[in-house]
Amino acid sequence: MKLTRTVKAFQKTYKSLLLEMIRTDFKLRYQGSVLGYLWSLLKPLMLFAILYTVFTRFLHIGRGVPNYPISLLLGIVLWNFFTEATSNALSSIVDKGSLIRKINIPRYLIPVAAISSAFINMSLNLVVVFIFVLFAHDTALSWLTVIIFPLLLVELVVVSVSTGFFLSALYVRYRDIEHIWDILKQAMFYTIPILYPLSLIDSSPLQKLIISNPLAQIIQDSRAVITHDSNLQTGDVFHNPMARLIPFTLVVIALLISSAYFRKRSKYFAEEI
Amino acid sequence: MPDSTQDIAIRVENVSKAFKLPHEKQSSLKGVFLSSFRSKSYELQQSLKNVSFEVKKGEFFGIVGRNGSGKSTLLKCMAGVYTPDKGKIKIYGSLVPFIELGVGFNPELSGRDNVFLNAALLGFSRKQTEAMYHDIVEFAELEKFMDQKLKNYSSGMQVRLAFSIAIRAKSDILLLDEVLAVGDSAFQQKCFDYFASLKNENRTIILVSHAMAMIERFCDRALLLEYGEIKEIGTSTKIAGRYEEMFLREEADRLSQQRGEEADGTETVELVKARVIQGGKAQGAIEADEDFEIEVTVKSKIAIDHVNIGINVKNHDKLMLISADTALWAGQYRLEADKEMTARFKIQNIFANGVYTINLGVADDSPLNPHLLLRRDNIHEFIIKGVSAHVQTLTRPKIQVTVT
Repeated sequence: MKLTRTVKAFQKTYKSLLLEMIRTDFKLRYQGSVLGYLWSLLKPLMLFAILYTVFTRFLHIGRGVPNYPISLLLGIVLWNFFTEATSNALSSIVDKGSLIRKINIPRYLIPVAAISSAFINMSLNLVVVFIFVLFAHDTALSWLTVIIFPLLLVELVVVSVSTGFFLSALYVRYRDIEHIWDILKQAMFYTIPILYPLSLIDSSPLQKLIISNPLAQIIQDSRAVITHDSNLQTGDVFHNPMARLIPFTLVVIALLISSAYFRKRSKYFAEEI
Repeated sequence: MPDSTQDIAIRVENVSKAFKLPHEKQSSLKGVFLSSFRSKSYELQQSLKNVSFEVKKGEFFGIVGRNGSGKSTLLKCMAGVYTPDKGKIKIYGSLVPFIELGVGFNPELSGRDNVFLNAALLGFSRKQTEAMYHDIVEFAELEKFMDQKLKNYSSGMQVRLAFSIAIRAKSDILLLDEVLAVGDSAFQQKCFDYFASLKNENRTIILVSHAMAMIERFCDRALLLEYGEIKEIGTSTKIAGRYEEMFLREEADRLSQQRGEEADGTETVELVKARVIQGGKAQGAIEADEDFEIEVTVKSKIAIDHVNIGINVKNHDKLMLISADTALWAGQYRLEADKEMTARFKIQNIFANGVYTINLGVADDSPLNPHLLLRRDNIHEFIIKGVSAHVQTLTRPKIQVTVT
């Protein structure tokens, strides 16, 4: 009885601490800028405008793809969340070094707070996406969307948290990680079907390889339940039902490894930063 | 011993902590690759060695030691910031560390936002902070500034704000670093009042400090750390005395090392020995309030008819406290060639505790040609034991006070 009460009290204090950290982060981010929070909406929309112009007007990749613009926008928003969350998390421990050296708060709160503020941004962006979706024709919106899309978001958060934990702990020891991660992000941006639909890849093994990446799987599956049902889902690429579990298994493995690594290293953050 | 556990607040068992100090810090992959070919070079700095002690509930416990003795490491281990390499630390109750005031303060946020952030770090929910917000601001006397960014605050204002949040902490155990007592004397008084109120509330406090006056005033017991090891645990008065003594002794050693061998054999008069005697024995450390003697032995190459041996004693700040010579106090003496002469100065011990140095002068006081034969500074040093509470005064004569 007494123990559970203590645990509850702890959860309560940490919850309010986490909320306060997220609030602070949010306040600081666009401080001194005229448009403020609007930037978190404008940035993905601007990127979308550029990519849309280049890929439909100049390169004609999007032509003939049903609901290409909203598919592109959705992909960008989901991808943006992943990059923002992981980049925020990466430097979060080092940035909060002065805090870690002086007070014993659960270390995981720090990357979690960094990822949470990226999640708030994504939520705002998704509102914009759904406004576009409501005005589009032939979308894949159905009762399935309401069930599957939140699950996919949960998966996306788990992927981001795993990556964030791992990167933030690694960054404490090796500052090169920042640059390596920049390059990896670039590489992933082009190997994940964000700009192009997966169906554009005409080799089946390659499709399988691409969609094994949980991020590609999340984006493709989201498109299939939101923008247009012609988007290839994991189920369409892998005919073997067991193989469909590959991306999910990778997510679980990543979470286990990264949280174990984070837990192990977090004891020494205070002295290594 | 289930009974004794009941009244224990913190138990530290065989705690050791070492830090690896690489000679060249490898914080890039290139460095790691390159250094993996070389033998790894780092210094292992053992900050804490096998430290064990217990703090009882409701106790005001002091930790003292010099810079680098491991005080802060110990405090950070107890706060859970550092993980000990070996040993265990058990905390019975909730603990809030104040290693620094205003942890997490962000200069870009308003005073108001900082209050909420800092309070959250101390374990308050937003509701609780809202309830006490008014009191915090009032206590800090910053009502007009709460919507301004913290970077526009003076450092005094920041400390006031931080302190007024910190004193709201309602944990069973508080870890206080002496850095708390910074700022002007009015603020220090506030801190002291706070410590006193904590003591009255019967909360468990651990205070790390250099200031023995503070330790003596507030702590019940204290622990003396040296080179990461516990030297002694005892009453605060005893530990404060030990610490002062240790410190003074070190200073005396430093002074004696500074003393150059000035005698080059060309002087007519040389110093044979100098010592300080108390209780019939030569001492380096003198008990307070008991009289002592300074004994100086000199030797001359030529005979001196009117020899005068004089000494003076200076304190740490080079202030001369006493001065005496043989001519005025003992009369006229003749020093034969190549014979030794010893002068003893019996001195009433009104000295405050501290390190003192003895300077020597030997003169020929002949009426026709008085001249100085030898002058040596810092021929010997001694310590007056005691505790720092008395160090503000130069002397400590016997004082009797009657009130009618």
